[in-house]
Amino acid sequence: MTKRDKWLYVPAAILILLLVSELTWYAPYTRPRTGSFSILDVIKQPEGTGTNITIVYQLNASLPLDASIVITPVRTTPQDLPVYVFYDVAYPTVGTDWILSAMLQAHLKAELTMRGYNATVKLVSAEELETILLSKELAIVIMASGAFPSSILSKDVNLIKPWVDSGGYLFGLAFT
Amino acid sequence: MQRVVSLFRRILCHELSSYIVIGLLLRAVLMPYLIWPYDIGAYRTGLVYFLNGSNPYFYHASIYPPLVYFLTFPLFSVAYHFGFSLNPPSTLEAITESSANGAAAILQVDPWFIVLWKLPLLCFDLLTGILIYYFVKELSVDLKLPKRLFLVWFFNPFTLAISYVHGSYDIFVGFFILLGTYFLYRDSHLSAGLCFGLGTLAKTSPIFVALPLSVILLFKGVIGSWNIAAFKVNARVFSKFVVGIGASLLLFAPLFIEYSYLMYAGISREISITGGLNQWFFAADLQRSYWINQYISTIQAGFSYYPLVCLVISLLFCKFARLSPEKILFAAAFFTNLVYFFLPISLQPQYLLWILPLLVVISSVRKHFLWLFGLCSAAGFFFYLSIQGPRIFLYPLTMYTSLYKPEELVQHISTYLNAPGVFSRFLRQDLCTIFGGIGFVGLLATTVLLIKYLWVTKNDEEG
Repeated sequence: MTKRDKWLYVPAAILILLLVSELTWYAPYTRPRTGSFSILDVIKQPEGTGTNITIVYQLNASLPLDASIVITPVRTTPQDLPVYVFYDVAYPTVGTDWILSAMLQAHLKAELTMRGYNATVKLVSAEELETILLSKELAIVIMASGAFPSSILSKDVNLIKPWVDSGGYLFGLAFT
Repeated sequence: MQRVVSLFRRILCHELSSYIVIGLLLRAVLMPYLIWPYDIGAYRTGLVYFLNGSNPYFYHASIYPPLVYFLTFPLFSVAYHFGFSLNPPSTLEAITESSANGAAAILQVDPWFIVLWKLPLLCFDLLTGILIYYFVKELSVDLKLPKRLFLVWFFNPFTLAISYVHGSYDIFVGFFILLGTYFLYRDSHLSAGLCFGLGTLAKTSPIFVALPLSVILLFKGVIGSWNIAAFKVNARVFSKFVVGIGASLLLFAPLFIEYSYLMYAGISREISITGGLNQWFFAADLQRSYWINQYISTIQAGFSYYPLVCLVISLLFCKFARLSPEKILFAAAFFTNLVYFFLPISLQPQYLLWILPLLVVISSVRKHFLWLFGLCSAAGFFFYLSIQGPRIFLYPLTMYTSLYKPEELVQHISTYLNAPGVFSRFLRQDLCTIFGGIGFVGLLATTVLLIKYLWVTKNDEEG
């Protein structure tokens, strides 16, 4: 009869430890109450008395929590609009770097996907951006390079305002 | 009672016992006041959610794998009942003040938290050393070699730095890959599968090693000959191995699925060679990675061929190489090494810990690998110290002792970060590129040598 290898007990012991840990974690009576946020009521002021809205909410948490509640008026709820991040190394940047724009796009794409936002998130050149703005495409444009290309915004050209007026969303980062 | 005393005496008289005591003392000195100041904040946040019974993935509080939480959960729960708090440290003002110039993002934690966090790392580090000792004992007739290679592992500055200075949990992965390989060598296929599955719960990389190994187990010695009887035996071995992997993964299925989705959605879509400073070789100088970014989609497409590449290589091994039990060790090291070149995730020097234990063991049968172990360890160690300077690990020391003032530390770190380079903008970029390059060459050389030893054909061996 061969002697049993003692190392066989190691994965078995680790599995038992993990299993006990898992059962304890999942057991309902060992779990503390999780945090919750709910809106109890939304009270609009009567017509003609102004535009005040009172929101009654309840926040419960047993976690060490640092919560900020932001309430903002929403005209329409855009659904998965394409997101374009300007990236064109033929143009200079101001106070930042093109690589950071590329990284922003990569991280944004991942973060939005994780949150169920499935629209395109891509880098666009100055030429592509010009086409998007001229076609009045409903989209989100992120300018993270600190400057606009002259073909988009200059003393003589302004493709931004008509596009924003038609419903486009513009985010400017790194502008001083 | 007599058996316990006898066991205790045997442990004390063991040739490793005095070295283990010295090693443990050394680790005890390193544990409380040294940590990589970025990741530990995320570890703490994830654990706070986990200890409160909340799913850390749902809240995007962490992208650390479930095994890390389930392994540390009992320890921190017990500590919590003894009055240990996970709340942020009371020295918040000092932290804010010291990080005011923006030299580094300081997310400090209590030294007790750091010690508790590193205790499981210590256990796995010690287990890895002991496993190396016993594995080498089986592979080599040299009676002194097991102890020597144990010491090489146990006192290697790089392995010490990863677990006790940085606080990274890659030792879990390294241990499970080594133990899985050991069981494959011993023909304990179910246990081997369990180990690779447990490793996958600690980081996704072991599954990329286990899959090609399972192909080898299935087709070993049957390609060309079409020996049905041998294939049936292989199929039994293969199914044991796969059941082992599946059992481990099923154990944590709910959280593991969420974690895998998060990894797929969040990490795999990011190219490995863009990113922050803490990258391996290519991204040391972000300016130099411009051309890479222009071909991101091409490079990502290359990564997607990893399963196919592995399948082809595995089948070629089955066809041409004589796969003795010893060779499975080489094959495991080869596929672990291949992961570094293919995985579309951030490559960081601590990931070397996945392969280093295998290299130490392999060096008992092929001495060259000890040189490669040394080269990769040295490159990884100096790369670490070059990222933001060696002082970046000292924040807990400044916060909780009077040995070093936080303001001085921040000043020293800033001076290093802004030091001009010779061929890059900054000195740190020069150093990271050099040491990253050396490490990269080390991994390439490892690949070449592993192929050389794996590719000894049946005829060559018989000759």
